[in-house]
Amino acid sequence: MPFVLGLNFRTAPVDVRERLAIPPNKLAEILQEFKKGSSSEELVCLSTCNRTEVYAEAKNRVQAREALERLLESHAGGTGLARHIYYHESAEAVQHLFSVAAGLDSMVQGEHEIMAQVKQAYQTAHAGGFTGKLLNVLFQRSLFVGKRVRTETGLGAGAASVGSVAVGMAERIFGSLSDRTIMILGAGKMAEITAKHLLAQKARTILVANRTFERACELAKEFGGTAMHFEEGLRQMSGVDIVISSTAAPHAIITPELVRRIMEARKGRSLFLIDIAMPRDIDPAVNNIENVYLYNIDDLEQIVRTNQAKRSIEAEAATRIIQNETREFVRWLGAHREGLRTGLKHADTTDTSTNPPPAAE
Amino acid sequence: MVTNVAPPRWLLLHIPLLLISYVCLLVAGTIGVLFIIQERRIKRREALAVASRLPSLEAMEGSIYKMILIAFPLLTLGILLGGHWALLTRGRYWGWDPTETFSFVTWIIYAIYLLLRWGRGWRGRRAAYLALAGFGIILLTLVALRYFSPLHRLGGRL
Repeated sequence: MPFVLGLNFRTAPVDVRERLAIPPNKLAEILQEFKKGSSSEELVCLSTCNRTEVYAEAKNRVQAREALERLLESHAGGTGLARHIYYHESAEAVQHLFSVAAGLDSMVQGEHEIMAQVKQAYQTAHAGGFTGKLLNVLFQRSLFVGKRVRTETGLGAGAASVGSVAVGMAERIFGSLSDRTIMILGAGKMAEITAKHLLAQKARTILVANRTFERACELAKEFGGTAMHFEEGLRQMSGVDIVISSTAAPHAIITPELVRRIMEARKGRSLFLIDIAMPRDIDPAVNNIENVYLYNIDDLEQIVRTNQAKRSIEAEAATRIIQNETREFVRWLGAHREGLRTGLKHADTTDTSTNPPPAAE
Repeated sequence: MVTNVAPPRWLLLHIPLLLISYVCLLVAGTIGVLFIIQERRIKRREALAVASRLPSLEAMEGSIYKMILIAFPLLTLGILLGGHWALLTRGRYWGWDPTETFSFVTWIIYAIYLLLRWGRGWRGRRAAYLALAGFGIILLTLVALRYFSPLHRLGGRL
């Protein structure tokens, strides 16, 4: 039965995780050291910025665990690691890996990167000959489970911050944002800049218009954009696809009449307006104009909340899948062991890695 | 009236031309439905819009336009050939038979779509509704072909 030893963002602060993180080019070396030092039969080491975990199989589990703990500690270059480290074995270890691969154990639930990281960790260990029958099947299975959770649940679908919702909507309207023009109208507070940043990263042309020209220049420099006077910005708006407005104006400065004129010049091409000013810069009636999509900060936050609520429901569904898969895997493992013990003569020639347990359902 | 002269074989192009054009227009109409659904979600600021795996509005709009752009010349040519065929066999170019009527309406709808798009930049929701209307008329045309047209007995004897 496999076991896992490690720490993650829940059990250890970032400075501890940093000390323990293993860069990919050192991984094979570390695996070699760990294998020798702990007399484990199989080893996979998963190290990302949010976790460092060692999955192992050993004849003497207690001894291997203690040895690995010591090795981790010396690798981190200090003591006091023990209170951050968790340990799971057998079914719990299986379930843990499945949860990790599915993104259920991630800081941002359902994120996709972890799948690639698990795969990479496995491939490195496999290439170095550190894995055997058990971890081969276990890790291949975990990738399958991760994929299954992502296709069968909405875990990870739906953006989780105001900035990512804004980007998501913009992409739903325009597709790729790389050849779009964004205008930042007014230079508002830092919190609101999240949305600006996210969009600005993706767009090619960025125009910054502000009442105070100096401030426009500062912001334009930051984004690699072009600064202009406020009135000039309003004039150029017909060439802009996405407007992020956060001026300190006391009343609406973008009126339906203005937008209608702009849309006539745009020949019906869509216009995405994001109003993050308080009080609002853009007359809500603008949303009634064909091909114009207006979102204010409340709309974006509302979507973020909906997505978060949906995520917890999806997390439950994901947990159910993972539990079923774990049961299935443990049953298969038991049957496999049983088969070995009853001593079929060619039992050791059957390659378990090509014979994973059947999918549930 | 010109009688029982076998029409020249190139007139048979009438059929594949219209079929290809109809397939393109049905595809355009289907994308139109998806466009209308997704556009409404975005307009109403529904969270579902971001989670959706549908292509972007602009991509869908572009596909609708391209499909119609391919289909329209084929449709025009197909109808003209049909008229010529009718002239040879029936001695008249056009007779407002149900199929002919529906074809005419279809042609008008897509002509309007293209004119409005080129001339006035009609895109988005309204244009998608036009594509959808054309889609409906084509379905009616196919029904008319099958059941009501004395000239076109699709699936029966010609």
